[in-house]
Amino acid sequence: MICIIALFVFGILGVFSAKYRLIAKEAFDCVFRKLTFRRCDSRLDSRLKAQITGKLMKRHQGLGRQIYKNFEIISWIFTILLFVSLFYSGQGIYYFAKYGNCNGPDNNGFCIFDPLNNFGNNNESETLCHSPELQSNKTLSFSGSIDNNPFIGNKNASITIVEFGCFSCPNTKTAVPEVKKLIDKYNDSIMFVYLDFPLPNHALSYESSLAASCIWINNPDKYWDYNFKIFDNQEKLSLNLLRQLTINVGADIEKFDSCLLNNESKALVDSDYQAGLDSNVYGTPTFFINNKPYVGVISFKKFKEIIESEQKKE
Amino acid sequence: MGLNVEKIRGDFLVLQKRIVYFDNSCVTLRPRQVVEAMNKYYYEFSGCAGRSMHQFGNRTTQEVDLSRKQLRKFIDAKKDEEVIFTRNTTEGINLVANSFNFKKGDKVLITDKEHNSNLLPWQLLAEKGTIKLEVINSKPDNTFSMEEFEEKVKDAKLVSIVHTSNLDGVTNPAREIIKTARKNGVLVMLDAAQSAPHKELSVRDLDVDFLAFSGHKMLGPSGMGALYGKKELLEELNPFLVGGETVKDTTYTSREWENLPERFEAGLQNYAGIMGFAEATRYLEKIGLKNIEKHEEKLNSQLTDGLNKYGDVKIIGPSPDKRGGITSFTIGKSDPHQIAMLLDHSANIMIRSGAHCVHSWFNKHKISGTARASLYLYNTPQEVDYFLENIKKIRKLL
Ligand SMILES: Cc1ncc(COP(=O)(O)O)c(C=O)c1O
Repeated sequence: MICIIALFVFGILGVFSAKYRLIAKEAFDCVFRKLTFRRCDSRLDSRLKAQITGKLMKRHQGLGRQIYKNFEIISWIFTILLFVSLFYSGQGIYYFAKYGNCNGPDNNGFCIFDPLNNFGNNNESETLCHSPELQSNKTLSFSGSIDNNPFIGNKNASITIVEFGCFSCPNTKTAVPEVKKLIDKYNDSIMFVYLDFPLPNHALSYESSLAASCIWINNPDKYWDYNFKIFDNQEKLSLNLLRQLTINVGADIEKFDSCLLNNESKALVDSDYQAGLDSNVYGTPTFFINNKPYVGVISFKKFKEIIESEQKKE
Repeated sequence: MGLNVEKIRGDFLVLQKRIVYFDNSCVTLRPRQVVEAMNKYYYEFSGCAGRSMHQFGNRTTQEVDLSRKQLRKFIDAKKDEEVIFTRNTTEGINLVANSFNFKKGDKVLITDKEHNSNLLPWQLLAEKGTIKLEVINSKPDNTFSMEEFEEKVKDAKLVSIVHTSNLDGVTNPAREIIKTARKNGVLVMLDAAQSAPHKELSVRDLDVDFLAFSGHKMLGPSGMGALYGKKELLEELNPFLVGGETVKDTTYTSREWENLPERFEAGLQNYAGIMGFAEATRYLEKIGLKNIEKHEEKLNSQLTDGLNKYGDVKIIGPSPDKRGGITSFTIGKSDPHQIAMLLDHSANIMIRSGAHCVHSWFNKHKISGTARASLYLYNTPQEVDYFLENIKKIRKLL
């Protein structure tokens, strides 16, 4: 029995090393002989048995003894487990190929082929920059105005997606490629709005929001380019760089300088932040999709599902 | 003078690992000195002996000659050319079996405890009809039966027997065997694979005709052995492995054989191995084979006493004083391979298991195999205690 397990384990290891390939070959031989009711010549089975129990005996004699005595039964159990897990892996691969999701057609559980799919409410601790000062125990509900905010997409769309983001938050950055795909694909059917929620514990987050809002005020057509570029350069952000990016995206540098100097964008950023607080947002990124809250990064796949289900409602 | 085992162990780098090596009948560990002697050849003058006239060639020839002298001294042979380098004991025996001028129907005697290496060469000759092969059965305690031998030797041509058995460590009474054979005008070949490493041997004193042994069972490099033969007998053999170095001159239809011993050393030799082999025998001589023999006997009686405490342990052969450093045993009905593998994996103790290439004996006695511990100069009483302790643990499993 143990040879069957060895065949699979060493068969896989054998892909990487000739040494394991030899053992896999022995295991195959053994399995084949056993299937034809002959003895396994290479004694691989008894070798593995001695090796496993011998190693165990070094640590715990009683345990080694028990395993040695019941080795055949234990091998059977593991072999059955092996086949069960092989069955489920096979099924998962089939589902993934067919539905793009390894858990079957109507299931959004964890899928190893697509780890981002798991981003969402369950995983917020890993995909959220949590503001230490804010409490997370209140119900989120969007309250505020988005009339003056940067948006992209179709202003008359039935689906509005609001993101509270912070330019210095690595998780907001993780969400960027997903958001880009979203905007790309659903340009006509959604309106995507960005609200600044500069976390106070993040360096330059507030300054970046002020800078980006200045671009929105003076050169709205350059805004999204600027927004994404800040995230691209998140690790090396500086006031100088924010200025340089303005030039890079082709926005008016003089207007930019005077906007910052005169605090022209402060009101917009502060009102975004206040809107966040009023909505009980406690970290970034936080999304509201037709007012339904989603805390943490959302994968494109998840966006797609949500949008499709919103569209069905219509 | 006893052995300074601590000092000896310092020469064996592998012993720095946390292992207990009790498989010395198969192959021994090698001391630094042997490895260095071989490296010296490779690093300093790795030429070819007996042919090339340049400095490397000359140095190699010289070192090979010195090595041969050392081996001659080690077995106390009369002349250097009586020592022929081989790959191992097996090759030595095959050389004699296939080169000897047998007349059809000549009788060859072996014992019932021969290693396959001293069975198959004769078995094949018998099948070809060249010789008649007869087997001397051991006494019930697995020791040599002089009575049966005296009966069977009368019309024999050659006796080829194991000196010390690798199966149970029993040493056959070579001196009396040879004396009896002499009286009947019969030649004697000894398989000394297990005796040369552990006992002082003098081929002259024994008056043996041929004697084969292996370097790797006596601290020497792998694949190195030697065959001793009395000069006048070697002269009469027909070379069977022939080629480069075995001849002085050839035409397309004839050849002039080379002198001894080169006549039997065909093709380019394992020069580093030869030098390492000689160094191993120097090492053994320095420590003294008598000391080694005593040391092993002491350890083996400690080991035997420990094993005898268990009713289900059966030891093959007589009391430990007659078994040198070898103990072959079974525990109840359990598979000897399992004993060996469990000792290895749970305690890093290495012993041999199976039929030890003496299948014929196991088949005769209907035993599937034994576990075998074989000791050598670097083994210690502490190791034996550790071995016994782990046998105790394993017995509970089996
Ligand atoms: C008694 C005896 N004869 C012959 C041999 C064969 O030796 P080799 O394999 O070195 O030729 C052995 C090796 O185990 C042996 O123990």
